[in-house]
Amino acid sequence: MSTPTGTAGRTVTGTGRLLRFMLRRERLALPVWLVVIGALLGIQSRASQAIYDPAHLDQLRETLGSNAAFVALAGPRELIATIGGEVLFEIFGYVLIMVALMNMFLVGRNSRADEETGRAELIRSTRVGRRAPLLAALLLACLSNVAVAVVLAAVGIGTGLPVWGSVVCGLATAGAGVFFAALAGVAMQVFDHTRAAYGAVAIAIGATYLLRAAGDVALTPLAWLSPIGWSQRTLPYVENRLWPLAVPVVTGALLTVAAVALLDRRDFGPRARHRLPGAADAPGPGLAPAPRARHRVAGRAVPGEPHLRLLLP
Amino acid sequence: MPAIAVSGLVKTFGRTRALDGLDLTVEEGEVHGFLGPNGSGKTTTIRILLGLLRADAGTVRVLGGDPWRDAVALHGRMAYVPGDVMLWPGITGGEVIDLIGSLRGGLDRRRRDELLERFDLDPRKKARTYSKGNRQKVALVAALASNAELLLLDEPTSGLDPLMEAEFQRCVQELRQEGRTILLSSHILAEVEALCDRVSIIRHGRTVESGSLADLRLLTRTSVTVETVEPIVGIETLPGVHDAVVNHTHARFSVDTEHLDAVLRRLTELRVRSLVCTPPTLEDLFLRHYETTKQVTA
Repeated sequence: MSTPTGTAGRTVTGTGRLLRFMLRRERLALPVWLVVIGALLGIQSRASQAIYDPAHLDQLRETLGSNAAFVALAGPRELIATIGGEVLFEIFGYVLIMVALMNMFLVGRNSRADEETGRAELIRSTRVGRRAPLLAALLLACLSNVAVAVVLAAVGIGTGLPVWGSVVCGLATAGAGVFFAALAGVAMQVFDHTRAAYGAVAIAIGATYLLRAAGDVALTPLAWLSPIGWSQRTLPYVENRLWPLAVPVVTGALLTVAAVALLDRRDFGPRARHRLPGAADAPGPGLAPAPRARHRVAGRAVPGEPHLRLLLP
Repeated sequence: MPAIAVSGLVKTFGRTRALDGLDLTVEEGEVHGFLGPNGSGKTTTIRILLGLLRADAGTVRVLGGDPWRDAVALHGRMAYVPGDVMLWPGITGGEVIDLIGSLRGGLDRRRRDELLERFDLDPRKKARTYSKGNRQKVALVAALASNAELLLLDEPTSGLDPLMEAEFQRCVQELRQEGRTILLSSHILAEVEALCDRVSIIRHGRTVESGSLADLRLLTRTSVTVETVEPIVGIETLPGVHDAVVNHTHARFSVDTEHLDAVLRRLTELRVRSLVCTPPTLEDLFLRHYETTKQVTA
């Protein structure tokens, strides 16, 4: 007889091995994400440094910053105070969306999607705890976010931007990633199918982008409701503040706890609530097979279908 | 202590009652056939035995433990082959076998290689190139190369060709000789007849028949075709004789297996010239339960 605490410890058995396996599975996809995200920063960094003169950034802030449409698409106008800030003003939102998507796919593919296809059965029939696949997927996402931070910092420094600003840029991006990984972890428990969960998380990513757009254009407090806004508020290369990242870290931890609680309360595989019977027959004459057509196939007289006729004896 | 002891097992999914008081006892060291029509609850039962699903009611003991609470500890002593094996496209079959082995806590390397040879499986191919049969072999090799005391096989040979099916049967015989316990859910009756010591037949989430094949045969009829020297009279009135077709010295009928002896005594009095006795096949047993299912659902 094992005690309840002994059992709880066993729910995470195998997490480390699963994490290693997930890294192996993602050995191609993960580097692609890192290269694309790094390239986005690298290209913009080179471009902005070639085009803009640091002495005239005030002027740029006046013209770009007063264009509401531009600010809605890009980032907070406070960023246009240094060249590094100008780089992020243009691309930070897109980098954060990409990292959010990366986290969503990493968590989904390595947790719920396996359950849906039946692959998780094979895994869970071994000495693997109930919570291990989800925790391993979240750890995988966290490791990937660390890698993103390292890549962004390296690209920033490598293209000649200030060191500390580049590090803050990497950490701010990783912070948003952690939040979205945990959010995806919750969505994977709430929805029956991975695709539905992806849809919900994608809508959430879109909503956070709109919130921060509204915040950047006019109503600053709204940006503080947006996980993308939190990371942008670190203002890398300008203010270089880390404290806004406490928000995604704390909410990410809370969401992780919620995901585990939901996981504990649900059955393996799709839930029952959605197993309502569907239609047994095709509705209407248009979709149901016409009796005549069936007869023709049986009689082998299918005009214009020579390959089909060949298949029939 | 039985390897699997299930009684009164109930599992509902929303409005569907997948298991409705199922009983199942699998003794240590036996190969137990688990039969039932599609959707009768076999896979749900196996998922509960694996601790993937929690039972709503009833008692379940696997290797003396609670499969839900002690899942991780028990899984070190169990192996599982699903009926429809799905793998990760970019991972090779050999990697999957080793992964499952390492997650279970050990794999017999020599046996793994021997099984790969016997099942003619190339472990270096990525899973996306495997056919259904080859994916099935990956899970089979992973399970058979383990040192598990209890193997849960859920239609493990679906998609295997006859040659591999025969190889699978040889493997199961070997495991039986080693004293392992196997629960074999199958639709291939010849396979069950060849391998299983006892069978349980389930329908609509309930056990409708359980026992050794010999016991179950007793419950059914033997077909008899006989030719005698003296005319056959009065055979149809004997107790236990059904569907008799008598043509002078020829007769065809079926007889309840418990009355077979008495009927044969009567026939020998008529001086038997030729006699064909066909014991009930598992198929007969099976169809008896399945056909009533059809009538219910029709």
